[in-house]
Amino acid sequence: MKKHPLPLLLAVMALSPMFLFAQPKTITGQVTDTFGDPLPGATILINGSNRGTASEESGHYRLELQPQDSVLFVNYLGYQSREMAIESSMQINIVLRENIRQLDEVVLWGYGQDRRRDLTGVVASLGRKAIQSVSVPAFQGALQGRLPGVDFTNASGGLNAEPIIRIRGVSSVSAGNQPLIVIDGLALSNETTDRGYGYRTNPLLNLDLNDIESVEVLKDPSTTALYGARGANGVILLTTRSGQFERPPRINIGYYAGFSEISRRYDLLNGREYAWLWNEAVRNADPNSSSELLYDLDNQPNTDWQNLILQKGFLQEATAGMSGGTPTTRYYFGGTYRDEAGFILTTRLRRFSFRTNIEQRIGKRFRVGLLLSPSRTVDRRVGNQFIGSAYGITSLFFPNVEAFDGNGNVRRDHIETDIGIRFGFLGNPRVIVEDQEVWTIANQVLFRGHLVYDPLPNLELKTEFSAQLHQLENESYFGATTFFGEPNGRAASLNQQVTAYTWNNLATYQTRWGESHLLDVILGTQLTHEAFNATTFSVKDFPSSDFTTPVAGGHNTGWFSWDEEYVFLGYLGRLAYQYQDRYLFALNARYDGSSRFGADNRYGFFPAVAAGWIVSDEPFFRVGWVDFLKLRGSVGLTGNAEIGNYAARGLVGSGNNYNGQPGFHLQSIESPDLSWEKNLQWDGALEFSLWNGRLQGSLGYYLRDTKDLLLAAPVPATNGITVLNNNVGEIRNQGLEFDLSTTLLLGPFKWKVMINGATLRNEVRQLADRDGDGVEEDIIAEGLFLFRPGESVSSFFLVKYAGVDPDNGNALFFDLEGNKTPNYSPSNRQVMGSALPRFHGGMLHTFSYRRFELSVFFQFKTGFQRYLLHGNILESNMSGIGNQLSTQLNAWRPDNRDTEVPQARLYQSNGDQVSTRYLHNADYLRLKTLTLAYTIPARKARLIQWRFFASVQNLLTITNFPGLDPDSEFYTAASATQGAVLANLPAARTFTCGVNLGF
Amino acid sequence: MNRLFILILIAISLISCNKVLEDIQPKDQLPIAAAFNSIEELEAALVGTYDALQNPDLAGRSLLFFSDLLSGNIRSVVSADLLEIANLEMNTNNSFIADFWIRAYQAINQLNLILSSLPVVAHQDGTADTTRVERMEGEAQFLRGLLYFELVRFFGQPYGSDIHPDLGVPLLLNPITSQENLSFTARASIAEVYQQIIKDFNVALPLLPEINPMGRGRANQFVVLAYLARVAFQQEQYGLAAQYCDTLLADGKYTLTPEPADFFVDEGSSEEIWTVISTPEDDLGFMGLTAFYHPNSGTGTITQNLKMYGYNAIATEAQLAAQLDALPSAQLIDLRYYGGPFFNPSLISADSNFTLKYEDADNYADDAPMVRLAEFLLMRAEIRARDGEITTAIELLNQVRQRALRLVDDQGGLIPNGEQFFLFNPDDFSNMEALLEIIHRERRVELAFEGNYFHDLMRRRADVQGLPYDAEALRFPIPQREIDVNPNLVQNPGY
Repeated sequence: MKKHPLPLLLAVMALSPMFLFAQPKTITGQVTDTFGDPLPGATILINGSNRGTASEESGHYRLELQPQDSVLFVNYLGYQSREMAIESSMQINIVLRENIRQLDEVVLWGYGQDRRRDLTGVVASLGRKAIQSVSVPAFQGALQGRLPGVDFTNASGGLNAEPIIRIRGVSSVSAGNQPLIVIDGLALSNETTDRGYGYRTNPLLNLDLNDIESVEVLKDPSTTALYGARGANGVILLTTRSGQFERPPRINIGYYAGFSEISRRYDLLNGREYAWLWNEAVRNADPNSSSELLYDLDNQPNTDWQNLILQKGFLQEATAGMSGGTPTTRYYFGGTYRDEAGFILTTRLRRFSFRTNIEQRIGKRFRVGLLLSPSRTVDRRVGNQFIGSAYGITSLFFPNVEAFDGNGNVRRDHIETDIGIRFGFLGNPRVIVEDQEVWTIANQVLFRGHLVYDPLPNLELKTEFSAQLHQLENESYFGATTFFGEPNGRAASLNQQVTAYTWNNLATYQTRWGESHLLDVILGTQLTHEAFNATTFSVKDFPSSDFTTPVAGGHNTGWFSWDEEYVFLGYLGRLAYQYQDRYLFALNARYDGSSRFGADNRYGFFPAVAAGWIVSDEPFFRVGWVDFLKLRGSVGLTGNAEIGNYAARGLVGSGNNYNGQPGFHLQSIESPDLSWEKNLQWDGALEFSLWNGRLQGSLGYYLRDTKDLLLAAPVPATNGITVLNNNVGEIRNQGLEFDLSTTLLLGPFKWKVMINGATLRNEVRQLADRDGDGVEEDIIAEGLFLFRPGESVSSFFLVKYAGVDPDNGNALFFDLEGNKTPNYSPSNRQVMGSALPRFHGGMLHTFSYRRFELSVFFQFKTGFQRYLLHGNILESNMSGIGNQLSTQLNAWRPDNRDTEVPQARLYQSNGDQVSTRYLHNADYLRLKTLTLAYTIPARKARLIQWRFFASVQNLLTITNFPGLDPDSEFYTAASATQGAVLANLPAARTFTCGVNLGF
Repeated sequence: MNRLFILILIAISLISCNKVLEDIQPKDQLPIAAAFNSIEELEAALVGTYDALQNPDLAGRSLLFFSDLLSGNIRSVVSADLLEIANLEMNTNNSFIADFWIRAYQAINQLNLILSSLPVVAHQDGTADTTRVERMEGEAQFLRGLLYFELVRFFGQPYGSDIHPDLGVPLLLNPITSQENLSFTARASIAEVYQQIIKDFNVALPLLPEINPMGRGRANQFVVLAYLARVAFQQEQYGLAAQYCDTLLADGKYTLTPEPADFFVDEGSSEEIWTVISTPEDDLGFMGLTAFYHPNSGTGTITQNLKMYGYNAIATEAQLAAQLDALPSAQLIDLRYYGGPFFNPSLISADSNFTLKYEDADNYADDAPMVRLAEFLLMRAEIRARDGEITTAIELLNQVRQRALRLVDDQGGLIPNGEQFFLFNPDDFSNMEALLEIIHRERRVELAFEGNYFHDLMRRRADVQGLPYDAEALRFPIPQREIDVNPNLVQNPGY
């Protein structure tokens, strides 16, 4: 801060007519924006001192003055700072202009923070305001499409669906591609999803969006280096709210409620249509079929099973928080309750979460802090995806049967059509939702304690211990007449616990010498330990449907336990140097060990270097309309160890019992040379701000080469195993990332547009030659995906469908020469597309007029495909007995020769093989949120600010994808194979309105 | 300042010990090296291979129903993968076939590891009980031979066919425990695989006791004999098969149960030579034999062909005519078919679509019948017939028929000795072929849904669903995943 020369100050005072009457003792006033709306929490400091205050919710402030005070310095995040001379009046109202330049934003990158202008690494960030501007139910919803190069996919539209996050593509086949999520310095375990039944649940479910102060995504080695091994796929850094010293208490209360509905339904055959297609299929399969196999078309019931399990969902959320600080203490307390009933009958999710964040100064040199956040989620569900789920069975269940008996009760018998056709399982969709109870209850405590010691003004020593305790309980009961429960009911119970801690020790030293040299040094150690324990058991044969607790079961049918742990140990260092504030340089290095690898291969060394040049600060740079121009680049190495905890070992598992005798079986064989997967990443970017911040943004390019791929490669099963972990192969990801924002001000009308996007080109560069014959073997996964040098990771590898032979209704396929043939052969498989979007991004428009604000947010992905795994059930032109999509009415007939749907032939494969018939472009543009808000600012001190809003999620999706939702995924987040859909629930369309008040 | 650096050093050295990485050892699993170290551990490993055999991919379902699906005894339309087996239009991605292959080789690798560890462990442990070590070795040898026998019968051409005799299955006899000894083994010839099977069985035979002290469901000397008989029979070495049969049938070691259903309902009956046991705790659930066959949940429906040429043809026209003459209102009941309301349990459901051999639908815990007496009575009968010993052949055949057939009056009352009308006499047959046809039909009916008929057709070189016995479409395809990862593996022609 500049010091005013005393003589000048005296001169100013002497000239002041009020001088003789002395200064007023107290000043008050209000801080507002240019529209006159109050700005709560603005900092008002007396220049040249450390005295100051912050504005209240209504923007009002009050400050005691001393005689020599002359100038106020007013600062508010996102607005241009101002200095105001203190004049005679007792009231000084301060109007701040919005700072449309983002350069002065503070960005966190792990163990430190920088102004955006000084960053050398690659960090995308979202502040609290940006997160809140789209009020969405779940964490991932707030981030999807908002951060360039960060690709979110929702597993399904279920209440508790797992998000799949990819930062800059897919770089690993077996070592996981999900980024590390760090909340307040604690890296969240990725073991918080249910291990027992393969129901993937959302590991972020226990996080509360209201608590989040900012989100930063670290994308390059120079920023992720401080997170080490686990940050190889990028780091999503969540910082929760905290209080600030010397602030009056601020209270926020919010409530919203709304309803939800399914955004898209299957267009299925009705009872009569189904019977008609069946009859066609029977006759086509065998012209001499007995007439007993044919339906009487005029006498078929019609049941819309979808209607019977869908409902209008309801959701509400209430939240309250308080923050503030004294000169020695700062605090934040908050809590949220959320209750949501999904659009499928009986589904419901409730969440309770609390957070406290306190820091205390002890003397001048010590600070001690505590963060504690317990939460609980109680979720009743019916399965979010898969054919065995209620919605999955709904799609294929006979439409030409009655769902209810004569008394109006849902039928629990083995339902047959009137010619005696039935499924090999008991139960129908309605019975599944009624008689099946699956509860997932997660309790979590996040803890962080830290102690900071500042022995010297520019040296900080910090030790930080953070822990995550996550306990998940899965209780399920399947009634006797359900798919999973027959014949006498089944139940299962899973109890799992994750106990993870991270202990960081850091020494930070900062020094400036001369006018132009700034040096930052960090040294530290990091120890991470995680233990995973779980037990599960299942029982069957219940005395009656009134008994649903597992102990009532007549037989134990399975029990299993897990007990695993791992340790990472890292040493880290960082050296950052700035010369003349415009030449920026940073060097990071890490030495990491992991217990997952073979004894001689545990440690890896991972350095990174980054540099930046603020061109616009150069004396020679004289371009009036360019306010800011920076070039930056970085290169670095990271390591990835996200494989099984014991992946290098040959192990036997137990529980392979026979006739009451205990037994065990080999599960894996040893791969002693297994070691780190390495990522070498290059980054270059240009950042700019033009026309006084009217247009600003960045454009960057990255190239990420992954070597020594950790590959659970398929091996011949004759070896007694099917996959083996090893380090072979290379993958390259490269792309451009950009973000742009522009603001138009037309009097009281403001229009702000933010656009971001990223391209991705992914290529497998090398794979293993596992059998030593000089040729690298392809890896074919799930019978759909190919990993092959020169192609994208998990390219679709399919026989190409060639439509229908107009002469006879046979399905045709292309052979490798491009000839059409009715013979299906896997030897004709070829690369037919990729599941990775070539371009994705989002666009946010915010229109403000006075107190109204309308935000419209679009999100899009293009250049990718999705395979419909249930295509061969729902669009099989009746090769099985299940119901079909209405498209199948267009099956080939002698009078309908020009069609893509082959002739219906009961029980015969005619085009239902795995082929491109079920592969579809999934490009989509989605109007993800539409929010209208109206704010009544607090006008006087201690009054309430009101904000009312109404919001719609997933209102509109523009796509040619014939499945329910192009933004859904069958495979788990950890899997490298992505791109298939199997009866996944589509996104919910939700309508909410609510109010926030602050005082 | 010095104090400061000391503080920093302390903080760093607090966790600088490499030991924290070394200390991590799996708790719910054991390293291979630690698990095959004692007789007790090898015993548990052996139990683990029985558990693998019990899996639905092997004896718990597939080994049995593959044969009945292929041969047209049953159909299953609900699963596309099963439908294509029954239609003889198999796809190289068929998951049932792939799982069979994978599971069989998993078990084989563990058997190889047991066989290579046993001598070492027994040598180290001077006190080991020799008979126990021998019994364990015998069981492991037998199980390995059994798995290769099942593999080669489904993936290779039938023994004796001169088409592609080189395409047996990969023969792995040494354990694979580390990446360093990973192998990309090619297919051995069918003859080589059979040689190994016979060798394994012959090694096992003298090592195994007559009664396995580990209890029911474990192999013993007679189980091996039964399989030796099966192998010889499959190879059309009828003389050898007859010898094995005779040992098995001597001394009344095994006796037929009073009624056919007894064997299936009262598990562990006098007829049982060996079953793979399934308990309610094993819970094969809707993957197992019971779920597949039982009318409650069943998808494996009995074909018209089996009814018409099997059950409904069990009595000859001459026999029926003779019975009608003598007792015009009486009616023949086959207890292996639907026995009517008075003959419960019978072995087919009232709608005649489902078998009730796997009846424990409450527990899904039916044992998998591997070898039982009736098969060997009929085997011996066939060999006698081939040897021209018509009278003794018919005697054996009649034992099986007498147990299954009943005559009832129009009130449903049992007519004593009524089944005599349906037993055979030597003068019923003009030649050996006529008798063989009757015995084959009896085998088909008696052993239906027990995994017999397809292999019988192969042995007799008979057509299967209209295709010649050595047709390409009758061989299982080598799973595509194997072809994709093992360049030395040759796919069966036609795929």
